Amino acid sequence: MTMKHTLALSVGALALSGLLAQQLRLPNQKDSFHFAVIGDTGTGARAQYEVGAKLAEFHKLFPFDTVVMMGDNLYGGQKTRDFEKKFEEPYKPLLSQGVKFYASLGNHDDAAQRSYKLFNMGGERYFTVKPRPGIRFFALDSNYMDKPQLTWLEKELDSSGSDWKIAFFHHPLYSSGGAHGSDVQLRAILEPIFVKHKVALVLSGHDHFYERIKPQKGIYYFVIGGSAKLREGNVKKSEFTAASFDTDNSFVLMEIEGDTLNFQAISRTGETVDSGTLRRAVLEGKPANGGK
Amino acid sequence: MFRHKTFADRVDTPDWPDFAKNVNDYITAVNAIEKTLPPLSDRSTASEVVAHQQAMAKAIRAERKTAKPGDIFSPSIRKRFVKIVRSEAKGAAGKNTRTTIREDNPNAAGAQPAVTLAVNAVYPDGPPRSTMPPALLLRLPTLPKNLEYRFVGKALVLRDARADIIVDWIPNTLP
Repeated sequence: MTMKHTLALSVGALALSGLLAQQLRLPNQKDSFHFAVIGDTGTGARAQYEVGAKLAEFHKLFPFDTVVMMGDNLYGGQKTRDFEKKFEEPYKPLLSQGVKFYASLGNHDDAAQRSYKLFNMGGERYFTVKPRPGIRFFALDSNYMDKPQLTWLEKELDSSGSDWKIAFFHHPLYSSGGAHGSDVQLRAILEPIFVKHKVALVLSGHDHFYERIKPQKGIYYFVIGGSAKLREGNVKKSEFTAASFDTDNSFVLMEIEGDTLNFQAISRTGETVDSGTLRRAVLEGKPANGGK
Repeated sequence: MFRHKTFADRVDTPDWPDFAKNVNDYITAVNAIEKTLPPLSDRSTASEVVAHQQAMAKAIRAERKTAKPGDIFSPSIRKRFVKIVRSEAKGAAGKNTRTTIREDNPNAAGAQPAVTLAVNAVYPDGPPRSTMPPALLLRLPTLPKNLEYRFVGKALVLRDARADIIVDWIPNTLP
């Protein structure tokens, strides 16, 4: 490689980083808690790798140490090579920097994934993780919401002193997806528990697109299921849709500082498709771009 | 950082004594098998996860080579399960249950590859796992940690998630 080529590459890299910096809208405060959300990822196909690369690019500007996964972590085969091709390789730049992924199980996932160290599930179908004081995630297995899981959830929520209680699982309680849509039966069981215990935020996947839901009974809901698969044009906007994006793959960056959560939904190509600020106390959304 | 909770590996089914006995006998036998294998931690590599599951399946097949359909779901137990499932899936009130059972059901029309129902058969990698309707799950006897109910077509299957094998099933649970 000549000096001219090296210079050209360096200028190119600087231009790219400058472009990304312009695209980053979160406050990106030094001491806030940063995390990323991806869903329905495990295809091993090109779109997953491209979203993984974009996520790694944004990680350079918006360092996060946590990624939560909305399930369908491995489509089809669940052999050793599948773990590599559909998870370890697409997110290698992040894994190599110590970013921790926390997976929930989707309907395509074998429960054996719970023992896989890089999914950080601690050997359980459902678990909690407290990444920072005052913030606690509750990962649920929505494929199999049995009595023991519900008992566990009530007990954990009840004993959690966290300000930010964030639940994540595969099947959305609210979704405008034409293919799947809202899981009404699951909603009837989980929503009263979430309301009772003041869960602030609920993240799900299953429908292969991005959708932000208007607050429901004081809770914010997001559908983030298009980080590898895509059901183009599948959002059938409903009365509870606040914003949606179904024309390309996407992922979401989130940042919590005090009672404030900032979010930015980003497409495979790096375009910001939704962003805004939520306040935990009243959870009234103030979309930065009007939810468009 | 983590705070995991687990549940006793016992079937809490006072109203289902025969079923509880069958399940507990199975779990006791399989737990003994697992102790003969290298332990699987919650920090396992992908190859360790896969190898453990395959070794479990192989050992269970060897231990239960004479197992047959109905060993767990005996005829009288089957009748009770069928009655509950059908009542839960019936009429307008059962619409959500039917929708959930149909969605991603591996033997639904057009879904490939189909899951072959046989005792000790591997639940294949390709098809999705049908989601269990939560309202139905709350009416069925609770299973120990590593066993689960799933629908394959119209059949209700008892699956060992640790070994990824079919333990038993009830054909035509749905009409």
